[in-house]
Amino acid sequence: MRGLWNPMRVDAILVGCAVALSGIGIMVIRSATRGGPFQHYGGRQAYWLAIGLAAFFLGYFADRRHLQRGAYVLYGMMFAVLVGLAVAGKWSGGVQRWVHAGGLTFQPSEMAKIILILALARYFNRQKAQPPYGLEGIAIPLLMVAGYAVPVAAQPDLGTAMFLVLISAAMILFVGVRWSTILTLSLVAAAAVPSLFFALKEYQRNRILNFLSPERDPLGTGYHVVQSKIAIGSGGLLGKGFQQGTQSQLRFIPEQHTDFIISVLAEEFGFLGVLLVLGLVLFLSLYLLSFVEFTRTRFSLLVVVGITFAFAMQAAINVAMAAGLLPVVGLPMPLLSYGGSSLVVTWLGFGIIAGYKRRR
Amino acid sequence: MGSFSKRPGETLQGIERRLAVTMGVITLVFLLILLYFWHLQVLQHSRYQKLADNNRIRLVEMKATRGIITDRNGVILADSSPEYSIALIPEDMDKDREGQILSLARLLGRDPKEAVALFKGSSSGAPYRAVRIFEHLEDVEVALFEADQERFPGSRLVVVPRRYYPYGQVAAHLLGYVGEISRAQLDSGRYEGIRKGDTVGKYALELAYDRFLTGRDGGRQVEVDARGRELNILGATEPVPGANLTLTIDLRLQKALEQELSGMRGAGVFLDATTGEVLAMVSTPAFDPNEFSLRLTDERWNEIILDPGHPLQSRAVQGMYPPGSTFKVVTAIAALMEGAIDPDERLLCSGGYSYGKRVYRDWKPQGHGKVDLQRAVVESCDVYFYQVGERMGIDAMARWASALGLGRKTGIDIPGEAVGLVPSPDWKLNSRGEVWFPGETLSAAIGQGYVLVTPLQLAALYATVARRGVQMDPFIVSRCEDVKGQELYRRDPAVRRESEIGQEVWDRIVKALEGVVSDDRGTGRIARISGIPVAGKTGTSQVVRLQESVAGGEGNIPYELKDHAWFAAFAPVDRPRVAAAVVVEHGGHGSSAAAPIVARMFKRYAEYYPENISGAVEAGGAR
Repeated sequence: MRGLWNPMRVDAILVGCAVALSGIGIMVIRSATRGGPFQHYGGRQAYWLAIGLAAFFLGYFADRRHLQRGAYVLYGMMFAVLVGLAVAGKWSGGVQRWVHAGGLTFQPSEMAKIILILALARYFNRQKAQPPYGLEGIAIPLLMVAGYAVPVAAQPDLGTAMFLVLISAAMILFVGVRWSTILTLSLVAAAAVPSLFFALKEYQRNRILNFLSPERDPLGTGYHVVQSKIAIGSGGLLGKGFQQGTQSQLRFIPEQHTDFIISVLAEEFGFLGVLLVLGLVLFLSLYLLSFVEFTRTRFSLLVVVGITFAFAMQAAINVAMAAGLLPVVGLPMPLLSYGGSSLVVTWLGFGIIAGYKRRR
Repeated sequence: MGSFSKRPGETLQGIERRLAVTMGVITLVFLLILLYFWHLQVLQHSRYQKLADNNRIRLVEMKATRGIITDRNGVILADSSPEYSIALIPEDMDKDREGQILSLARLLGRDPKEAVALFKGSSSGAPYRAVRIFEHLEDVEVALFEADQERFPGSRLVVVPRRYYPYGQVAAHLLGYVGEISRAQLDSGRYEGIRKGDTVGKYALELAYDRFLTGRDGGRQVEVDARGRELNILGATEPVPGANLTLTIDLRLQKALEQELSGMRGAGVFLDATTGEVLAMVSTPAFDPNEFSLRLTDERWNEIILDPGHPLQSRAVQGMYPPGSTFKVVTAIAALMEGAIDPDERLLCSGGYSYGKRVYRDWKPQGHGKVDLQRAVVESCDVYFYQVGERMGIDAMARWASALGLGRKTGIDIPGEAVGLVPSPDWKLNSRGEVWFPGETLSAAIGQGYVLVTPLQLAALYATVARRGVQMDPFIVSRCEDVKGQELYRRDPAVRRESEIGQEVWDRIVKALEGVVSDDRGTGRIARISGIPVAGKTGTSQVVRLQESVAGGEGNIPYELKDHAWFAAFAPVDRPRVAAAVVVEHGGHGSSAAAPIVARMFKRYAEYYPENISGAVEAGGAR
């Protein structure tokens, strides 16, 4: 029965791992928000998971050629949205990251991650020049990255902006760049850091300085990290039990259902809980990379690699922030943190990757 | 796997190698993170367990003190005094938190309802953070609390700096006041690091220089035991006090001027004519800014804002008044520059001037006879200036008034300065949609009609006349230094502009103004001081356009309709150091109500700064 493939024969390992992580997320969100002002967030996240699954199948069935052809159009549309939000943010005098539509709020910078990956993949797909590239070979991709990172940083959402730069850098490195070019760019970046530092908003500067010396701000950011570490450390090997975390139940940790969700998990389920979740994330990342085998074009290859990078790096950075290994800049933990945009976009990306296997 | 070969320039081995490296890097990163979690959760578990069990970290804020404001001689005008409050840490309290607050309120004799509401409003979400609940404790209350503190777990006494103005009402309109940050201020995003309930500048210099005056709060993360006793300090930041402001004000002059104007409604501004520094600036009635540092009750607030004397209004910079005859100096300068009059030409004043269908009256019903510019200024002849105004026209007059700094802000460093008004036909058409009537030019020529100035503008105008056309920007804050003595801000005198008015015009004008005081028929002769030559001009400005008939019988006019009295002056004439303008609302004639105040103030200035005056007098005498 060649050609009559079963559309529901999706990859069980991939979906299974992702559902497991999402489920753990909902559970921990429930615990983290119990009795607080956000106590219905666990239910809301379940509802978002349903939308996420729909997004998965959207990606799964999406025509690869359309993805490739539409990449630049999507890039342009998202660019307009991001610039619009940055400008609107200036007008409203506040942070502007969300688009509100029909009672739902969506954070376009999440979607920007995937679109940027598609656009970069499309660019490298057609390149006549062969890798490893020099500066002229990656000049346009660097501009494409800046086109997103600058308006997102202006929202201001420094974490996501830096993250966009990071996944793009990882993709470009994967494609292949000359050592001399890498060296040159690193030197330029090192020289630019001080001036960029002063272009930051004062509170953003403070966050970085607070990371470097937490006692600078014992009541603010430094406090978050100290509390988060106490939650993690006091969890021990086995944890205090579901909904038994004193740190989280007493709300010592700010943003504990989003950026610091891993701290709640670590407190209530201990090192074994962390091991399980990070093990799943690692396994899922490696498994996603193995889908490269099913790709036929450089575009597809780079889409798979880029989406996987985005997932693995974001998870690693989020956890490292919660444990005090990196400055806290506000990046959600993919699949686990509360937040519809991140969840739906992650699932969409998985769908796109899983779709490559369908074609075989 | 054959598909890889379709990708040009890439070998299967190349991609596989890169994939392998990628997988290796990802795995390594996750293993390192897991290793760190092992370190935290297993190796250091007991340490963190103890911190969590004791639960263990409390936040104790240490409020920064606000910067000190001093006068030019270093006398403290605004300071901070320590004040006691009781703060509660919800997490450490009894189960029945409300009951505990009630009994605490009973102990202190305070309103428990307000306290409970305050507590509920600020304790949600952060049970480990201290909530200040009973503020501004009196000594008795502190003693009561300390004796009984054991009964109230989770409570502590905290010291909070409170803004204190040692001289009460003195310079209230300059210093302004502080208060709890408002919703709108919080939302503006301009207050970095300020939380709900914090104190910020609300008015005048406290508002304008808030970012210098506000320090940075500090705090401690304290590890406590289960009973709330401090075990350990995990982290601390010392508060950084705000920076100190030095004003150009001389408190002695400020107090004296306040005394002179007390009981009246009015304003006075004294400027250092050579620098533009404000030496004294008073508006009466005033308010006591100390009241605002405490929590002002609604009743008291209403009482203040409904006070018919409008004590919160700073009349010196916000009050707009017709300048009356003090404006004649502008008319005279304009006419001389335009060539509209010959200063030696004598015009007839017979007590009134017929123009159109109206008779424009002189203040002196029997008239001044034939007067030249000198006599017209000295005796403040209205009819002379009606004719001058008619000859010159309103546009020329408006142009010179603007050139001399009227009709626009002086740029003083106090927020809310009024612009004043220099009327012109264009202005009238644009703002009122009406054409200019020629007769209105005559009113404008004697500083009536639409012309409006603030006392500050008028003082600045006379300082410009004193300096013969050199305009200095008036200012109040000269320096700002942080606690380490580092200069954050410095204001040096700056020449705003120099007018192109010729020396021979200034000679005429200054001589005429000197005559106002020195001539026995001068309207300002009451301002004569022995040893200090003073030049100035009186003004009597109509509050409302009185019917001609009423204008005669002055004794019957109710207070609200009485004229405002002006005197604007500078001294010493030949080497001017100080310029002033005083207005007394409904004070009647400028000669009797305002001029003596200025004279007495000049005398004081000479007393405090003899070197400035004597040098000038000697130089003047030598001429």
